[in-house]
Amino acid sequence: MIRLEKVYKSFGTNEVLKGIDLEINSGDSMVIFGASGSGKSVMLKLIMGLLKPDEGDIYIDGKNINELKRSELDELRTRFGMLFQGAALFDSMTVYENVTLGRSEHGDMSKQDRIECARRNLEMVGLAGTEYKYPAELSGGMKKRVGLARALCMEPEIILYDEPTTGLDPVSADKINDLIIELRDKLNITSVAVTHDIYSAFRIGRRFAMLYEGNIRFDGTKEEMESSDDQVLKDFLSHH
Amino acid sequence: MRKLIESLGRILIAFVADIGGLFIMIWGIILSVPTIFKRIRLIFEQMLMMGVRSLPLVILTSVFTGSVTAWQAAYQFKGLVPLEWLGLTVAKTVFIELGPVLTSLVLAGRVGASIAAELGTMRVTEQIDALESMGINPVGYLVMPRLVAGMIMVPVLVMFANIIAILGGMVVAVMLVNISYETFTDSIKSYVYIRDVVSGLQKSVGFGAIIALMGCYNGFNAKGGAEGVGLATTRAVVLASVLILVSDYIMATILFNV
Ligand SMILES: Nc1ncnc2c1ncn2[C@@H]1O[C@H](COP(=O)(O)OP(=O)(O)O)[C@@H](O)[C@H]1O
Ligand SMILES: [Mg+2]
Repeated sequence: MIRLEKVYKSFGTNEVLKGIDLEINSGDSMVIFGASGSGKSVMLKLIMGLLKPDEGDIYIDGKNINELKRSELDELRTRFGMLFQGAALFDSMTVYENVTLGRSEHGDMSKQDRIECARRNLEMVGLAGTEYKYPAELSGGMKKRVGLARALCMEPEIILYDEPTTGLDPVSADKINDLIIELRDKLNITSVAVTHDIYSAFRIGRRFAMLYEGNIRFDGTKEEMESSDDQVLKDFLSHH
Repeated sequence: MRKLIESLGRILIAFVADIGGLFIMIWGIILSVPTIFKRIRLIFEQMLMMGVRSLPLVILTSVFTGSVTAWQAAYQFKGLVPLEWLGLTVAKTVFIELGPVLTSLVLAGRVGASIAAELGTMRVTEQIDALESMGINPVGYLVMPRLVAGMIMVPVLVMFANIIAILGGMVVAVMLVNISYETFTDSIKSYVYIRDVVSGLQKSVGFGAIIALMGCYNGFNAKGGAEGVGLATTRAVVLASVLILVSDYIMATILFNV
């Protein structure tokens, strides 16, 4: 379970998050939407401990991540997978090396198992046989799917998706949506996605939150969202 | 006036934050020293890349450094100092100052810039975040190997540069100044001490650290896309060059008593 309590984050004079309270339960499929620049990526990075909040606390299974030691934080992170906005594949490595880097670094898997792990997860994302390609040889949608395979290879309990479909053509975007749904239903992975793509949000999410001017403006189910008479929420939904 | 004070204040704050950030990075490197054996392969890769990428440039600059030193020394000596001291002058200046300092300045532009550009790109495309999100310490994985490689490869390249510069000086002395090969080398053999060579190499270990650290620190702190990477690269080169010259003076006062 992930819990954010009164989380504040600014960069210089730019106040991005102004007191976020949010709870994400195990098994949830949470989608956080909001305009570009509203702080969605910052929120995911706070949950991963990649950024530190100025104020407030973030709890993962009751543990305050700001009080963890480096080694404990690294340990905790192995339970998470993150799909970055631009996929963030390592340019200098092959797809195989990208997908298995986490495993070979943690030294908890034999070479044979790593090859198998890469094969299985690449097949899962529909990219079997691309092991020895470099990221530069892949399209945007393929990069994201490799990014997903990389996250899956760590066998995460929780996956954070940063704009999984942004910048993709509709066909590639739908492939990603299908994958996220499959992971949600088959592997029962807790997921948190941030996006400004409402169509994708409705497909992959079961619970929704809206980030607006540094606060959670709305938090609830699809039905609650559709029956809400909050003008800001309505405007956002009709414009995206 | 108020604006001026405000912007001075901002510059001061940024400066203090940079110093702090740099020390945090150095501390992170120290903490990752125990993993050095796990990183041997990465260190070798970096050493190879630095060596191969820079060798042609180092050779080219040192040939001319040595040649111009010999020519200028011969010109200054004319009528004042006997030319049998030419070899000694060239060798000492090259070993102690010109070899280490000029090679390091060239490498700041070559190696320092490429480290900053590479890590800066990794920062703005979230590759560094991705490493961290997998529980891999990016300082141990990216910075430490580059620092170690820099501290080994810069002295190696300086050693090359020294030899080539002295050969270059010798060619000028023999062909253009018309002193014999023996005259040129005799004074080197009798008056260049091991200490001169070693102190130059010691300095270059420090210069190697400066180049790698400035490249890594500025790359790590790049922000905002391609423009930010360019800015980080420039900063890495400028800061490394200034720090090389300043620390060279400081080390000179420590290593040599006048
Ligand atoms: N590392 C950073 N340094 C400074 N400003 C940042 C940083 N990361 C994000 N920001 C700023 O925070 C705001 C929110 O960014 P982000 O979370 O990336 O938005 P989005 O909702 O589009 O993902 C933006 O104004 C951005 O410029
Ligand atoms: Mg974003």
